Amino acid sequence: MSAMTNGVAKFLIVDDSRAIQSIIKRVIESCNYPNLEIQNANDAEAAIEILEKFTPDLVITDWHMQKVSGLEFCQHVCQTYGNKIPIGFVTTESSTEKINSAYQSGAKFVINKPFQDADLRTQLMRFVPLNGSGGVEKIDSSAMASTVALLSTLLQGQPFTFVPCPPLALEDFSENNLIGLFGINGKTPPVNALAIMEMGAVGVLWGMNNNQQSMILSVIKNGTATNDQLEEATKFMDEFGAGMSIGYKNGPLKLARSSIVSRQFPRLEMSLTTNEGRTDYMLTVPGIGVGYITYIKLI
Amino acid sequence: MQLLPTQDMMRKISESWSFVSGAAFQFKESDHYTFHNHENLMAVILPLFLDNLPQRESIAIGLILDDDEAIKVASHMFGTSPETLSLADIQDAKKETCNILGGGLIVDNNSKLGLPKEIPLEEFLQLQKNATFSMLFVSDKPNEDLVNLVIFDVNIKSSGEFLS
Repeated sequence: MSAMTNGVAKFLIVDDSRAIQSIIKRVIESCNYPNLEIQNANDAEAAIEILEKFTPDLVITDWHMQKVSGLEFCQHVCQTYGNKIPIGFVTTESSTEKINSAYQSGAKFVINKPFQDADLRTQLMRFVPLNGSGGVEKIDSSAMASTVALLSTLLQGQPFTFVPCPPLALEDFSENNLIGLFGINGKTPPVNALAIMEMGAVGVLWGMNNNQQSMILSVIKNGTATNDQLEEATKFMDEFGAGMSIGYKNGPLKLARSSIVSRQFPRLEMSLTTNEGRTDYMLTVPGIGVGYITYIKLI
Repeated sequence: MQLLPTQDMMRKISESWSFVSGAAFQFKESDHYTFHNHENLMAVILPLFLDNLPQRESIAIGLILDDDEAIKVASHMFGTSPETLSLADIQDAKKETCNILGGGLIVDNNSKLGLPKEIPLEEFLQLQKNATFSMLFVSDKPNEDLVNLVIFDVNIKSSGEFLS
């Protein structure tokens, strides 16, 4: 994670389309950094020159450009500046092999066009947090490592990112959501914590684990999941919740029960706002889909 | 080469169109173009090269936007009013629109997307004439939203400039 220099958030956008530069710039501006400096380059060669005098907190680059490709540029940045300057892609490139090569070259994220502003904002906050030290609640590293290991198995080696993201608003959840209630030794009441998986997350997990990528969209579109899909998501949720509560006084907690709950359910809204701590996560499988999982500590 | 199923293609095009224009509507497959033709109308073409040894094959993704649609898209992408747009802004937005609408329609690990470029409509139609397959998608409200996205294969012999 990059620390802002002198409280100024600095970005370099590299894209041969000024229209896309404008779109990315607007998303950066929407993060409300108190002080902001954005530089643009129309190609990688111009970007390399800029980097000789300007040290951004994050570089956001296109892939397909004249002369030097975004991938070659990424390799240059990672070899020259190491972790000092993180770099990510906003691209139409969706080939799994090529996206893998971007990660292998040191890219921190790959976002496919068209994208949701929230997806880019999440990456901006991840690498250039507003307060300079992380925009979300501090997360136990062993809890995170346990979830990432679990996801690696479920996603069968497919590259993915699982990162904390800004809290979702009620309207960001799907119409129906899988909710799990956690208690000591799997017993409730009292409910010590709850986890919410919106349908994007349910679809991505099930589709990747069962090699049924084409079904992911139908889960998201229909807003409902089959019993098989829910069963698998529930198994993940059990381990996820246990992992997330590793540092708890009475942890790790166990899943007591799960059910599908409508976004309109009043207690859902209440839990999102009245709790003892909450972290939202974005799961991204490049070229496949995005899902969100929220973990809420109640006691 | 693997094209996405038609329904998925239509959905992706709609999502992409919503991203570039801020307007949401559905696309459908069609057998005829929808635009107000005039002498200077330009098409944008995006080459996609497939390493299909021993012969290199090429696919073209073309976008023909009516002038009003091109201005709407440029205005949305640049976040500015239509009066302040330059011709270069509109060309930039059209090329990026073709890139975004067309870029995700073909799934092939051995393919390489080229860069979009603008060519006169007549030249575009000439290039398309020898295609052995062609799929055209237009707005499902053709009298209001004159957007045309077409995918076709390019005849190697007649496409020297396109492939260069």
